[in-house]
Amino acid sequence: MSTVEARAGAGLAAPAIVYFVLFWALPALAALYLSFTSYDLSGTPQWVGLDNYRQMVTSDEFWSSAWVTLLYTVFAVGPTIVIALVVAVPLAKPGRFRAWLRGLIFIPAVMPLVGATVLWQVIYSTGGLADTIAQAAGVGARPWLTDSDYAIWALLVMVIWKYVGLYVIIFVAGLQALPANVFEAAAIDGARTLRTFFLVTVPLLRRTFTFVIVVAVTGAMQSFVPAYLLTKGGPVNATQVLPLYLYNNAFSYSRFGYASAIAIVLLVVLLIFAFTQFTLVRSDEE
Amino acid sequence: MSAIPRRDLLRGAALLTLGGAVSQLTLTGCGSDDQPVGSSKAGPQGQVVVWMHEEPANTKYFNAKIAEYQKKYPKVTIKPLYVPIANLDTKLSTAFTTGAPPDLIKVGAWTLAERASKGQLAPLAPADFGVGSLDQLKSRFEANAFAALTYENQIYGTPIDFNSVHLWYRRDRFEQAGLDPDKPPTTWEQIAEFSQKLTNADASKVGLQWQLADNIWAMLNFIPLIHGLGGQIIDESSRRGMLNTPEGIKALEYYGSLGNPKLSDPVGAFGLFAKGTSAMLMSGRFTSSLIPAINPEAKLGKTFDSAIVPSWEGKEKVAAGYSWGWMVAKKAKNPFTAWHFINWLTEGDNVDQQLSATGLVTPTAGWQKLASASDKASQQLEEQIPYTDFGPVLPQWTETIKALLDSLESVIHKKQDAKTAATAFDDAVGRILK
Amino acid sequence: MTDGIRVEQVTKRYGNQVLFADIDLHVQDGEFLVIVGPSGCGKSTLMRIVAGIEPVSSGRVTVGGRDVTHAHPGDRGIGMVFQDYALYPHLSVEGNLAFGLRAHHVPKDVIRQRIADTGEALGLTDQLKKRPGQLSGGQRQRVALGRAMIREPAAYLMDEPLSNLDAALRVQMRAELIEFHRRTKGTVLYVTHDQVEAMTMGDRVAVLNEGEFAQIGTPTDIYERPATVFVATFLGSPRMNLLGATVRPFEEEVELTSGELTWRLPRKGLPADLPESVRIGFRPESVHMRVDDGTPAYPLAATVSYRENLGNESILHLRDSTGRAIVARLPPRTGPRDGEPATFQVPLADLHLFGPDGRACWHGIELAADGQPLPWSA
Repeated sequence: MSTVEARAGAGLAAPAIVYFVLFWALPALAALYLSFTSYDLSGTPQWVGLDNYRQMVTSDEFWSSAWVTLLYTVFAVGPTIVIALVVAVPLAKPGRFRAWLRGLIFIPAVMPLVGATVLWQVIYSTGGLADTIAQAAGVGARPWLTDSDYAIWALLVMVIWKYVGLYVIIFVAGLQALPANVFEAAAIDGARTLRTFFLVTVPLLRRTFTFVIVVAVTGAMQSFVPAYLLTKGGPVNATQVLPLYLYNNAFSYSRFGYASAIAIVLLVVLLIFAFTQFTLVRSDEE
Repeated sequence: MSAIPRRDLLRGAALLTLGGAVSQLTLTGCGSDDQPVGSSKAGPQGQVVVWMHEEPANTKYFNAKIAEYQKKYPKVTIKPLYVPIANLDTKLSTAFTTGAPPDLIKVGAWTLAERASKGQLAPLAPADFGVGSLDQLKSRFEANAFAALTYENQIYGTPIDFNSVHLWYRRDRFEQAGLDPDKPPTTWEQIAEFSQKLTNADASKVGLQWQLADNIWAMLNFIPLIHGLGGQIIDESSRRGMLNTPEGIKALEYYGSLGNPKLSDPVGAFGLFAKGTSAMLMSGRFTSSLIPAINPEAKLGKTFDSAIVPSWEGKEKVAAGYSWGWMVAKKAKNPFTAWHFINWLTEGDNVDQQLSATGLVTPTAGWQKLASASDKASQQLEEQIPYTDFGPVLPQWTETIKALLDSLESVIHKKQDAKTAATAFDDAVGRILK
Repeated sequence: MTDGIRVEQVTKRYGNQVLFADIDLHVQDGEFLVIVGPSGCGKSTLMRIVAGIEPVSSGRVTVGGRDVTHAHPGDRGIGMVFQDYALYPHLSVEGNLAFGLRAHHVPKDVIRQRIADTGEALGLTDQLKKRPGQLSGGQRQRVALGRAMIREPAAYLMDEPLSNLDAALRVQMRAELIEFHRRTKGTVLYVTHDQVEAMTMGDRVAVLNEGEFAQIGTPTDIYERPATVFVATFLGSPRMNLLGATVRPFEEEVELTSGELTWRLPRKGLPADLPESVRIGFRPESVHMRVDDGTPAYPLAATVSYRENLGNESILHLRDSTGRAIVARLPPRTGPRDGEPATFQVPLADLHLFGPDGRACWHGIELAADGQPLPWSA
């Protein structure tokens, strides 16, 4: 390779490298460094070695938050994807009415979360819509937001409602990009709706699935605003997801060292997850 | 060329991640000296940047006052920034850390200790107020007005939005339960007794409902209970949690015995009280206008009313209160003018105007005699001020009170008994304050 | 299996737009019928209607004598081969072949046997475990054919199956498909826009234009007796020469005049109601160098504008004395040089006459069928 080419190559790669270093590597390294310190934003960080990590693994609140995050992630991502896909299949077909429905289902996704949360607080309040529906269904009124056994599920319903439209749109785009002929071939081969869905649609959507799962899981594991707004993490910390615990430690308690340690743990878990997911897809393609 | 120390570089990067205030970094240390700065000699002049939270009535009033002040002192420019209340503390922390804080801030007094301990705030100087000593300044205010604004014997702010929590009750609910609405309970024992009568079979209607799931309100509801028994939440000298004491456990048990934590409303306990779901509420003076705003059918004096904070039978009264404060950043370029402006806000009939326009009390001496303070709740506030406690003044206030909230919630949601919850709090305090 | 495919009085509308109205087509049992036509003529839609992928607006479709107008595509007894193969990319060759059998709950051992047989018949035995992405274009097309075959359908539908292949592979696959049809005697409805495929593969060819069949007949028929100007010009490359002409009776003959050119045809065998104004057509390969051997002939004087040497033949673009363009196809390295005037001739038996409505009124080949001597024209 000539010097000119090498220089051109370096020049073209420079923006990406600068971006990566400035907005990814440096902050990540900084967080890693801070995770070994005690730091309250005033003065200089004090080196404390593994203290933050030690405190983390012995903290009940950390483990309770980790468990809540696991529940939150699994039960936000799973139902969201299933519902989004089931809704997307009929909506992916052309037609003005379907385009209109697609717009409609996307509304929660573009609604400001603050407004959406107030709406759901009204729905979940004592004697609210959720109680009315539950009574009509014979379940009876429930303390949706004020009972630590219900709050996480109430939060999940809101989160699924909020984001399912986004994934419907992603799935619709994925479905519309699939070759129509393959579905026609399946029909001629005698496959009906369910067989086509499970044996053709789902496997063909593999790339979309990978994308959606990675985005949804990393999104869910980093999400704290819905919990922060709807329940403030309560009652009795029943909805305190790890990112909210992190946020509280960083911005409410000024414990940036400890918060950084939580961030590093989250980052490692997310990296392992994303790496595994993409590796699985790649090995599948080979 | 000397390299930038690695540690500083990493710190800068950390701020990029945590605060997101990229532009602020470049402003660090670039203080402009071209503005004239006010002093007692030169008089107020130059620019004062002030940050506070956004609240429509207050924003309107404050903007009008700025215009009035600038007309009187044309050399001064006051630049206000109204921040959504949920973002104010985080935004301030970022600004202080990056070295470009506003000159003047209005924040909850409970955050003062943290900012003072980090060296972010300037202690009050008598010269800025045109007085010989701070005692002279204090004498212009109510006796207890600076309790929440003093950290390690230094005063860092002046009071605004001063409140003491007392009892609010529904006259209609009292009548329905056969209770005399003109004789509200005066003791915690009576509160318990009344509550029982006001609670229906499935607890969908209750007597006293605490303000749950909120740091400051948890503290404000709990302090009268534990302090009234002679106990305390933490011992500030030994920095130890004090819930696992007979007083602490009794207070916790009492706290857990009232109300129904499963009741839910978008505006929390205020909403439940406004609808009559709960019949009693521990809250501040502002409640008189807040309740009709939530439910126009609720009328002060007719549907609901207020009373002095209860005490334990045979014990002294203790009220809990909170204050906000005006504070000036240590790095402020124009502290004299900032304080001159705040001082001016307490002069003439400004305190009266402020109270009627915004409902915010500035507890200057004799404020209770103002026309706008003639209401019952203001008089009750005034009566309670001498025995109002503002809670611990701690740099770790938020984390400590979150631990208190956790224990209170555990007890009222029946996740832990009082003893276990008390121990958990004391352990947490040990960890936080170590 | 009897009766092949019938399309009866089928109409297809999209909103107000009528793609075709009351169309009929009968593919006989064991017949290889090719629908050919320009893009947008509706040929693919017609095939998709037969497949059941597109619903009819009205009319009836039968396969093997059974009315399948409203049947599910999987219940019509058809196998289809798509232009872009439409294989299941996530399944192996085996999985692709087995898909339809599994959908019809064929027993496992039968499936295994049929996969082995089909794989062998199509030379795919070594490819059975591979995914479509790992196969060449020809192999993919064979898998697509195998997927249609394995279910032993009453009829095959093939939608431009060779158009994604390169030229060499297309010739090879064409031969394989002809061989496949000869072996299986299956009923095939084949759609293409490629006239070579139409001419070489079909037992019969149906020329579809603007939603109507311009002509249905054997390839020879369609080439020698095109029913319309459209059919005449659509099939054959380079396309047929067409010159406007006026008709005038002249003693026992009929005189055609086109510019400075004149032709005389015997009145016998011509339709009585020959219009006054016609178009005269002859194919490029019918244009020969004039051979002065004493026979009566009408010379065509023309100049070569340019020529395309294709190796096995030369395409000459000519201009006659009135400046009209005429294309001739001659053996390689023959004919005059560019710019040189020369004289050509066209056998009278190679002429076609079309009326103003575009329909053919007479084909010169009729003269040969009558046993008449073949005079030269022009």
